[in-house]
Amino acid sequence: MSASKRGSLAFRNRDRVQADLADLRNPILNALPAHISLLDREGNIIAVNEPWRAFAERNGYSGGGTGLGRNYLDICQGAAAEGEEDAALAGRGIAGILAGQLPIFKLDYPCHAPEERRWFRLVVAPLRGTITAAIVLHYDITEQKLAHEALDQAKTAAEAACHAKSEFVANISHEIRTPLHGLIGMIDLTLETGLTGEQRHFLMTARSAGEMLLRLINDVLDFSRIEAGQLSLEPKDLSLRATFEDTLEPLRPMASRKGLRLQMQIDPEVPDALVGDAGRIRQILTNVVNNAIKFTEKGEVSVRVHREKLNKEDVRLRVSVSDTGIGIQPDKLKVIFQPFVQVDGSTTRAHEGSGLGLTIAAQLIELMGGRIWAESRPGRGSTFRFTLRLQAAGEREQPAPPPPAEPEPAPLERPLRILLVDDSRFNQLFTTTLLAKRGHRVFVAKNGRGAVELAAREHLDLILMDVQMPEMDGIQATAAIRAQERAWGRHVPILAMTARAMEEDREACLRAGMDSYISKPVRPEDLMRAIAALSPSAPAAADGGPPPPVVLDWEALLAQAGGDTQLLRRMAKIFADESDRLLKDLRAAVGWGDALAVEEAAHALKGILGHWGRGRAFDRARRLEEQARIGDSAKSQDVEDLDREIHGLKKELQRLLLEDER
Amino acid sequence: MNGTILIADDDPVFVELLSSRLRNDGFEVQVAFDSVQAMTLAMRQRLDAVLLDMKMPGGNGLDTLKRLKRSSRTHGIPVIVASALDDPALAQSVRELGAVDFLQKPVLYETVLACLGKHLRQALPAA
Repeated sequence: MSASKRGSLAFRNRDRVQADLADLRNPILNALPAHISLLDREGNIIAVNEPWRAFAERNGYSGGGTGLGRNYLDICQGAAAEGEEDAALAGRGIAGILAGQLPIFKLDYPCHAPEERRWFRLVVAPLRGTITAAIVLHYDITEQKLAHEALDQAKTAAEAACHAKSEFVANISHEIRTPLHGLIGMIDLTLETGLTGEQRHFLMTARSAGEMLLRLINDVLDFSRIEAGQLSLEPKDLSLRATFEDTLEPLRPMASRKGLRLQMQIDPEVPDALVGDAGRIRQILTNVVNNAIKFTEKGEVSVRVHREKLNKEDVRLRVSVSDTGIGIQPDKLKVIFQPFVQVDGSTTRAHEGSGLGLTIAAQLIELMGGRIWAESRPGRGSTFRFTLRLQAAGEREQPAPPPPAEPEPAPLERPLRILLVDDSRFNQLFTTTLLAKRGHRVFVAKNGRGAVELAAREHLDLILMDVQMPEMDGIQATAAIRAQERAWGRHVPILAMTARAMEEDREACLRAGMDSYISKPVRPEDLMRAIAALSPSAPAAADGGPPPPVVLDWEALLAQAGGDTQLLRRMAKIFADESDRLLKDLRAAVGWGDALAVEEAAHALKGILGHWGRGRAFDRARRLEEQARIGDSAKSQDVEDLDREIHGLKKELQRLLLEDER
Repeated sequence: MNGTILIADDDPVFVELLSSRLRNDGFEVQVAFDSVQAMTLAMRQRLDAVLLDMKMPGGNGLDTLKRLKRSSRTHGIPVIVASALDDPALAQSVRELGAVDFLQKPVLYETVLACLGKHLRQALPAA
């Protein structure tokens, strides 16, 4: 039926329309803050209420008038370009209602009428009368929208601010940790020289002060990482008794200085061989016990551990830390777990600390699936109780042996030529001494520029790279070194050493082409382990023959790049760096058995591989992603196979790019 | 200038290819490597189209799409979703959320360009 025919039909029915309106209690419809119209079965507008009429008179429809007598579907079709999409949707919705296919139709849309920069909600519902078929309502939702929008903008702003905050925390931590690293490192070196007992004692005290500062800044870092959801647990085999005793040991001097007894009782029923994150358990216990000692002037602090529940795998421990200190007012018992709070305002000066200890403990406990709460009688003392959920450690009966005091140095096959890049003289001295003692030849550059020069001149086995340096930083230097190397077809492993212990920095390092990362202050054993893992003597994971050659469609690639070889070259470089990084992520994820992380890394690899055609590497990445999605654990052999394919692809790309140059 | 395009994608190879070629073809290109950056850029300036990846750090692409469509400031920007996810239902669901089109990755530059031509706020001059 044509539009004009529909219209004239409506006009012929006008008398009946008026009757219908009366039936529908016109005054009530007029009082509603909504534009209402009634449609007949064809979609003709057969009645409108006062607000509709007033709106239409203010703005006019494309055809003029109030729209009464016109076909709504036609009006939707003839909408101005700006509102075209919404109008088309509305038209389909109304048609669906008229055809009885939809129970109700709703649409939020911005009104494009010149005077009405507002948002409306359109609701269309069936209304079966003598001739009416549907009721159409438009009502103003601008305020809701604005509120939503304000929320959205506030959320965006807050997220941006949070980004900035993490950045700030990372920077501050760098500023504080770098000189601290220098201090503690020099003290360690001095402790290795011949000293009198008194000198040793002084230095040990200085060292513990440094460590205390380090703990403080680590608290702040931990707190911001937990807040950002970036902290994850690293469960390993542990001996519960050793872990707890080791934790209390460093706290004993503080307790005995105050004349306090520090006691521990672990119920014999508590199993010793467990699986959990020992570092984090220590941190929780340290924070809670530290707090108890801090607020107790005489008497004792006692730690008790009971087994709460034990099935085959899960062990729930209940730990209580009681003191005979000043106690906590009942109304403050919950507040104490909030950040930056020390209960008695007047004591903040007397009691040092970041004020984050209990907050971090509470957050960590929650991460481990437990909870913490406190009971107290002011003046008599407090008891902090928390639960920990750990796993029983398989069949092993024996508690895990304590870590050896002197970690055995990683086996070394040959002395290495190592370039150390660091602007701090402390660090230069500390690290070169460490490395030289183990027979390595060390070159030193004090900034990125020097490193690039040395890397070009010397044949190196490994580069240790600081990140923040004047003139040229570690990231830039790495990029420059990698660029040089591409010309020569070499790859010297680069190990980032950075005081910025934030995840993003690690990312940035790896993205820039570094191979691995250790956090400052560098512990000698960590450094040796990292060097052993990266040094060329590490056995290469090679098995089976070389993979069949990779075939690339050079013409197609060049066409994709719009004939721009430079672009192709840049893409190849980004691909090489990114695939290295992602393969590393993938390996780590497979190692952890973290299916989600495997899926993510494989997905990203698949993405960057797709640019070079759907070859074998692409298929392997896709298969890995698929398997991880359905929860199949990936085998490290799959990763190595994928690595080989990617390696082949990179080589072929390089060959083609070189050929093109000639 | 043909218009301003925001590429929100964490695949740096894709971003390099697309931004180079789009700039070459007369577009202004903005790049976001995560969802927060994408939202911030979209709120801040007039965009003629967004090319949105579904899997980025800092929130999934569907949420970003929903947020773009919910705010009146960004509601009108045509959003083209490009994803390498093998999910046949995805194309349909992003359209329901207001995306104007869906591209399955890997995707050819010409396909992206044609898609932009179809949906861009400003009409493209004849190629």
